Amino acid sequence: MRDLTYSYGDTVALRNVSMRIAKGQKATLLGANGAGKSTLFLHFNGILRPRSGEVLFDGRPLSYKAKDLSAVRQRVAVVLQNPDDQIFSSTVEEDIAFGPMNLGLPRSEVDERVAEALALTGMTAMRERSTQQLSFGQRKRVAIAGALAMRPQVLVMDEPTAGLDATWWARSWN
Amino acid sequence: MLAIDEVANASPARSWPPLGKLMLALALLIASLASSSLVAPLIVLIIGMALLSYSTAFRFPRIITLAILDGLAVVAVGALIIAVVTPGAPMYSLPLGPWAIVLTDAGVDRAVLVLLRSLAGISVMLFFATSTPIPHLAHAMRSLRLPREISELVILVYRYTFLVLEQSERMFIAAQCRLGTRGLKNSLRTFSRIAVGMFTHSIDTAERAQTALYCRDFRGDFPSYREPAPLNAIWILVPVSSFLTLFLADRVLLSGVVL
Repeated sequence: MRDLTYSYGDTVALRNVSMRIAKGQKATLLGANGAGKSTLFLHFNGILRPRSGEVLFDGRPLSYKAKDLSAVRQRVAVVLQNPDDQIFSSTVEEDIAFGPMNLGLPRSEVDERVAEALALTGMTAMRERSTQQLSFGQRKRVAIAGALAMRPQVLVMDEPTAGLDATWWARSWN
Repeated sequence: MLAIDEVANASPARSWPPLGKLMLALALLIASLASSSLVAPLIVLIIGMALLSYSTAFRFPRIITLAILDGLAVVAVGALIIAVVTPGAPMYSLPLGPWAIVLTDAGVDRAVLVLLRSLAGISVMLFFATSTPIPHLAHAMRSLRLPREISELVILVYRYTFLVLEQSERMFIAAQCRLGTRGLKNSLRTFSRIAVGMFTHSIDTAERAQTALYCRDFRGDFPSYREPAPLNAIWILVPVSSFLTLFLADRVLLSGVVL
């Protein structure tokens, strides 16, 4: 991104931010509370549109037309800080399948992606559980699984380890 | 909290076609309402309780049990009022000083009919609610070609009702930790603050939900991962024949002996 600036009303949240993340690179963004990290992440898939500056993906500036945004969101998945914002379905597997089904994929591929995401997040045994009955950490893993099921090229995670126990904290980094 | 959707997901009747179940529930409900004798509501009540027993083994979440009991209390009070205010030959009189509460024969008959119809209606609709998970209901709505905005609203309202309930519980516990419910004055102030807090929190939640939906390529529809069984001829035949049987039984009884 180049010289990105964003404000909420009169409050400037991001001012002239420029950064580059190379393909295959893992990057961690550290900052104080209210520094604008979450706001920045929502620019990566075009949820927020900069007041000035631009966001580039694969070397090309993001287009904010609905069709182009849909294409970007298939390739750039964002896991939100609070899993409750992200989980809509009543069961774990329904929620993980939400993204792949939105893509209109064949049933067999949806099944494969759901099984893979469940395995990666250790939620296979809970696939038919009600999402309302999960702990915060488990909901967090469902939220991550939902993003992984999209098989994105870029995975953006906001506070990815918040609410996870030590085992899953370490696993999420790997 | 054990949610109604969890009961529905565990129900052995979950795999039945949701449209078929809805048609059956409506057919029984209409047959019960259309009858003039006690037979049809009584049969519908027995069918409803049998279906409910099969669907849930009468294992309800506490909050749902309270809601049912609350509804039953309203129905019982309503039936009692009908028994008292309907004119007819007096059956029983309870003197209250210069006044008296008089139950009439016509009033009691009508009250019993209303009570039975209400109980029958509650039992069949509870059977539907406890055997049909919300995604199945949304799927049924789509099958009926209802606007997708309606099924979208049903799913979002269902999901966020529980989140708002959980949030209000957390706020209440936090208030208790800081003596927010110590005394009536403090309690009233706390409840009003929680109400205001919930309002602003709901707006905030709605905004974040919209962001999350767009992050997951939402296209205005909630697809079903596990689609319920489709409607078939049997599930059309059963509701229609149930309705006709009850309706004819009622007419035959009316032309002969009325219960």
